[in-house]
Amino acid sequence: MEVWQEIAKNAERGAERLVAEYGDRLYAAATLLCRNNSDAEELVFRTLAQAVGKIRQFKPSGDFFSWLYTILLNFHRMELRKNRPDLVLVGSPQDLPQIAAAGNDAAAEEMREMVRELPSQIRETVVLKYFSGMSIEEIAAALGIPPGTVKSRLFNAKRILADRFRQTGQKGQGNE
Amino acid sequence: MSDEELDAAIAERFKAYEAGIRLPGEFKGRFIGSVRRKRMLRRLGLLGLIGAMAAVCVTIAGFAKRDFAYGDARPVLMARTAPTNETVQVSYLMLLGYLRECFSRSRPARRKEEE
Repeated sequence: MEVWQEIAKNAERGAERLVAEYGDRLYAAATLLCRNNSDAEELVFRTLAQAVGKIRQFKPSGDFFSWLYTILLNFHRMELRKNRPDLVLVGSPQDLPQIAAAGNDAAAEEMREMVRELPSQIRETVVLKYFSGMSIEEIAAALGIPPGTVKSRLFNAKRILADRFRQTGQKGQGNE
Repeated sequence: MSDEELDAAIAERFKAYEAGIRLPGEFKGRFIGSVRRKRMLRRLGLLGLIGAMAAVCVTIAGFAKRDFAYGDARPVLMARTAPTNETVQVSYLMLLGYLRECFSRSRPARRKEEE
């Protein structure tokens, strides 16, 4: 049974499976869109709650992750439109070590910085492309934009990211 | 770096990033709890709605003009009439009808009738 069928049949069991199968990937995407991990967590919570509540609106012919991502994007855009650039949800003190951690998290933090530097619309397209592995046409359908616009955004994103990779590579060589 | 190589490098970075990110441990419990609460509230709301609709239907039926009690209902009230000290069996619908009359008749008329 697919996860959306399970949610429609039994919301609680379906919700458990939804978190297990899609929660981490959605959270990873959210951390690249949001300013901090607390916002990302709240965004994922609202997205999954909406998905469970409106599961009958999902068309089985489509990709489930892209449907979830569309919901996530809509909530994210709503927050941006509210114009709360200084929004930081009151989190627990455990959030601070999460943001300041070194080691493995340094690479993650670098990745977040690189993606967050991208313009907002390009960032949304790039995150969907590399988290879902969808084709240009599928991404265009999911975001409601022409395929040409998707290609143009991805082209610009690659140009910016290539510059960043080059800078990071040079910085790494300089440190050695 | 060719376009394909760049694409592969970016995809690799995203893959590594995704592999290293996990939702906080308490998220699942919090989310499932929220789903459970919403489901309970929805059920309570539905029960309340059904109860309210049933009450409205009974009230409307009770206020409907009837010359006789509907069906052969069991009496819910044994009313003792003052002058004759007889008992009267009153069904639920008749009780509603009496209540309606109490509010529709004027007080002097009622007092006169009781005398």
